[in-house]
Amino acid sequence: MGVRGRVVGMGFTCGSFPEGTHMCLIYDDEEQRLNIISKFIESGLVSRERVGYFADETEPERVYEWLEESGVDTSEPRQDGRFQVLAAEDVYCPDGEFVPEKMLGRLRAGYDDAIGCGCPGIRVSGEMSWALRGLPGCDRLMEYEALVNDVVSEYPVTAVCQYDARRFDGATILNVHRVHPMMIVGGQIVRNPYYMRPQEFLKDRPSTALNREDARPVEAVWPHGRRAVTEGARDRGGRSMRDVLPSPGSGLSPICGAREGRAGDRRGETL
Amino acid sequence: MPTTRREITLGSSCDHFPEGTHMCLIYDDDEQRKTVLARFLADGVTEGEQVGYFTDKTDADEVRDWVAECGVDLDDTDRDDRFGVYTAEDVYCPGGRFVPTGMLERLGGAYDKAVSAGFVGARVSGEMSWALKGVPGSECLVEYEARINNISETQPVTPICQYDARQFDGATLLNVLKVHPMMIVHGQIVRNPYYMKPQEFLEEFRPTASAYG
Repeated sequence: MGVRGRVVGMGFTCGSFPEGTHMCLIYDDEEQRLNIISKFIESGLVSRERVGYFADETEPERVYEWLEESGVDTSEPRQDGRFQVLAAEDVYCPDGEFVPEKMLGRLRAGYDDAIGCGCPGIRVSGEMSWALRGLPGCDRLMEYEALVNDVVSEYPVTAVCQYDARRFDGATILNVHRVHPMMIVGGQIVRNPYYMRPQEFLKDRPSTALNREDARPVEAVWPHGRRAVTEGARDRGGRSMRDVLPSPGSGLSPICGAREGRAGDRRGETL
Repeated sequence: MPTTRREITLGSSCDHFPEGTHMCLIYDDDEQRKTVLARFLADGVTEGEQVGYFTDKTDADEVRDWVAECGVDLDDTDRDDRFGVYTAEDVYCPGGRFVPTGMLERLGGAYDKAVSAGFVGARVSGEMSWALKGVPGSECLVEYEARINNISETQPVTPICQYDARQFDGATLLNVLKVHPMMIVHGQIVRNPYYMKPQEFLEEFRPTASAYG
């Protein structure tokens, strides 16, 4: 895990980078974003990695279309489960709540599972606007992002986290900079001067997990009935983390159905 | 018009930088901001530059105290000479309107005047929250910021533009990052990977009315 020192291509830029590179893409131009992300996905598929795309604003079918338009055949990797487009909210907030510890567990499991299935590695990209809907736990997103840096040193999931600068507030955008060691700027991957090590970033934030003792199971904090739970979310309630980044052929429900079923309360555009 | 740009200290680190270095300070911690600004301003006075502070929120006496705490004595006779604190809106928006060209002329002119008056140069810092009040022309702020980079060769006034991340929206901050060649991060002056040359930035820049309140 990670000790192999494998390097990967990113597709949108030349050169090789260590697998497990954790990057943010802070953007305000849709065309530039599509160009970067579709090449990132394509490059993962070409190198036979497992690829997960967590869509929030983009219709899942559109993601497949981007790739088809670039001449990438997605049918085979889709069939064997190597390429999955999932609703971001189902990935980050199964049960309707964002719990960083659980999501980190899903990342680890996703990596192990990909390797177990014979893939050389795994890469993911998420549209982070799911965090703007005020779901419980969303205020812990930056803490999660910081801790991802610890996880990827052992479970080198290569990740591009997408933040639409037109939707997030300035304070969040500044923090996004602090938790990603690398960033994508002008289509290039560059070292991020704002980056802080997770422990350093988290130590000044009293609400974060390192100082919290309430990282209990979801039910203990949010008993059923205290909030609206969609049918889809309830169905997934008892399943393991591994189900969200499932092994090939495990039959996760299609993303479109999941999107229809989710709670859509928008409480504003801040975290 | 200087033939070679002087190397100056900017408070934030021991290194020297060319005068005219255009920096942004995007911050969310008032104490860290104060530390950076105090040393920047005090270094300017010590270097023999004329120093201007354009305040939006901070009391003028408080700014003078920052400098005094760094061991730089500003007696009353210096008040409008070596070091001046001005209201940001008066500086950026005289007549109740922000006009980039006018402000660029004032900024460059301030450098020329400082040098004529015997100062070795000029440095300024502005609290940019004045742009969040809906003053006409505020939407041109980022355009102005981009164009500052065109005058830094000939009228190398050294500016730190302060943006409180808690007040500006993400789209504006991303644009702020695109127009400052250098930035202050963790108390250090670093090259800004987002920086685009003014012409390149202005070609693709589309002002959004919502960006400035």
